[in-house]
Formats: sequence, structure tokens, C-alpha cells
Amino acid sequence: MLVLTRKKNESIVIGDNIEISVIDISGDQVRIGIKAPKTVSIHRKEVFEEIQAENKQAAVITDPGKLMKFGR
Amino acid sequence: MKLNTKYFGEIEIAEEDIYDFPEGIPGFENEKKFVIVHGEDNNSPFQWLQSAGKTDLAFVTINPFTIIHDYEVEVSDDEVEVLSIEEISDVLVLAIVVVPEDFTKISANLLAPIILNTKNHVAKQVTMNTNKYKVRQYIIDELQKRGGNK
Repeated sequence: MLVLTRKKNESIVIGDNIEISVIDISGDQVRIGIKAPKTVSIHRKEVFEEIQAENKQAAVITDPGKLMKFGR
Repeated sequence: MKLNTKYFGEIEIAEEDIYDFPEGIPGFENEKKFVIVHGEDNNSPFQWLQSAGKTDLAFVTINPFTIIHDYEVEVSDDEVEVLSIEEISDVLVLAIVVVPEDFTKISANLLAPIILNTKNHVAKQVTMNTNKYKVRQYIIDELQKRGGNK
């Protein structure tokens, strides 16, 4: 991993169309601004991983018959 | 055309029934084509989201508004643009359901619904930027909160 040091209001440019800026720093929290093309999805990593894991769980159904009876 | 499904055998679909997920679905990034399959029971709140490329991949989904009547979908303008949504009436929203061994713990992902544009058939699972909804929202709890248990 490339590690760079940046100060508040400084940015990093990735390729020719992604820009990441440090908006604010307060204690152990950093506010980050991201400029990227609309087609680039941006996720908070832990949330994205949670959704990936949940989708994998959703793909496994041991007893679909129960579902068919739901609401009856 | 014919499509083999995980739960309903071979079914007949039209080419235009296929939804295009340009980014796949998180966890299944390579699967980009899905079809909505309705079970035989017209009263069932569930629909199946069947992969068109992989027979043994199918998700159970539910219309999130049947769980929470005033469910709110909030997506950024960028997402709206990516999906080329022009009219709100063209939008279909589905939540992916997890069916665990203990059926009372059946849950739906209300934080990251699937937004489908029924006009151009482009779709995406979108993570909302809110703490109102959960990845694992227990469906039966929600229905009981509402007083009805249908």
C-alpha cells in the first residue's frame, strides 16, 4: 500500500478523474471528500463487507418450502 | 427463451425480462444478469431474483414497503443517473431476504435495497447513507410492531 501524509485541505489525485481530499481532522476522525466519476462506486469498507457477507448468506436457503407457506 | 431456475425448474422468459446489474451484486460481482421470478402463490410477499447466468444462484426478495409502510428509499443523484431513472413510477424496489434455519429470524436488508429501473432494466443494490434501517432487519418483529401478523 502506498502511504502518503496529507494535511487538512490537501488532496490526492488518482488517475485523471479521482480526487480525495482531507476536509477536516478532529481527534481520531477524518472527514474525507471524494470526487470520482458517477460510475465508480464508493463504499465505507465495513458496511460494504457486511452487505457482501449478508448477500452470501441470502444465497443459501436450506428450506425454501417454509417460505412458500409464509403468510398463510 | 428458456431459463433454468434454482427453485422453479425451467421457465420461459423474454429477453427483455432480464435485468442488467452492471456491477453485479456485492459478494457476486461477476453475476450481472438477473430475472425476477414469481412463485406459484400469487399472495406470497416474496419474489425470487434468479441469476440468468448461474442456475444455483437465486435470492429471495421482498417488497420492503410490505414490511415498513413508510419505508424511505434515499439514493444520491449519482445513483439515479447511473440507473437512468426518469420517472419514479419506473422504479421497483426489492430487499434481499435471509432465511435462516430459525424461520422466526427471517430478515431483509433494508439498508441496501435493490433499485430496479423497469424501463431500461438496469439495476443496482444501493447502500443508503442512513442509520434508520439495518442490513438485517427482522421481518416478523417489524410486522408485529405494526400490530398485524399477516
